[in-house]
Amino acid sequence: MSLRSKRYLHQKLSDPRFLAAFISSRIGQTIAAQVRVLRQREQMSQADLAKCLGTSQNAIYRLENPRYIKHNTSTLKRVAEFFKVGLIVRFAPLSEIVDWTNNLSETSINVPDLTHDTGFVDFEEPESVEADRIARLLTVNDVNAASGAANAPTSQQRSESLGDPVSTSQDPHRMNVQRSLTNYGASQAPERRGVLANG
Amino acid sequence: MDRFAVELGPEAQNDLAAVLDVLRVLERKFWTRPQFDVLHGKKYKGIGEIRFDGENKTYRVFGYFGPARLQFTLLLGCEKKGPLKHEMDEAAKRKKFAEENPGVLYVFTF
Repeated sequence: MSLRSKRYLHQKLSDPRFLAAFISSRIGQTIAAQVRVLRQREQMSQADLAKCLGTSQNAIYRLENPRYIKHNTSTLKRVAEFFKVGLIVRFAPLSEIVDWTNNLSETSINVPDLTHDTGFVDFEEPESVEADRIARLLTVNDVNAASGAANAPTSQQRSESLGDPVSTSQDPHRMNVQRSLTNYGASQAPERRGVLANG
Repeated sequence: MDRFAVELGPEAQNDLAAVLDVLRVLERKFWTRPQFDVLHGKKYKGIGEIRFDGENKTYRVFGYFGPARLQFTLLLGCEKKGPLKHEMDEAAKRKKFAEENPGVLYVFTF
């Protein structure tokens, strides 16, 4: 039996005590680990971080305590701003939480800051790639002009029909960027799977 | 470990799943307190403890990094009531046995 399987959790979450424990443990463990890792990554002590945030060391200690769940949204926002990461505070279907926790990656906990956030890679096209795309679109425009502009596809349709060279996984520049960025916090996580000794 | 996990109360069971979820995706250097700590003493060399709570009780799961890279072997889970010398000794015994008999290891699905 898996403590994290959807079937098991769907059944157990109908028990109010289990539901409360599920929500508390996910909030407590996740926030505690994220704050601790963000701080340790910057080689800061709890006192250092407290000083930077204008709060007490005890407040940081509480944030890093997995049992603490009385988080103040404005404190979390200050932590997010300081480390240049985002903060999501919203209600969500329980299944979404289960999916999120079952599919955790290193960056889910060791959250990349703005400088190392690969989600912005698409906006960092080199000039040569941008020029190539424009050249190809211009060629299509010429064809459209010859056959009548009324039926000219929108720019989005043009991109789709051509196969946007930047958005494909084959684009060598993008792959290089991704490769270099994934070196950040290179994964040495001790497991994707646990191993258990018999007994 | 399987029986230990199943028999925990809802709070402890959820906390165990949550702490394992967090630790398994982190680099070893981030396995630190309060979620994890290493045991001290020559006898317990290489053994660490995963810490979690529930139902006003504190629990420990002893284990070690290995046998392969990016693996962590869970040896023994217990409630923390005072010193855990007996449990730590048992964990050390199991570690030695597991290292000598890798066939007894299996993937822990939690």
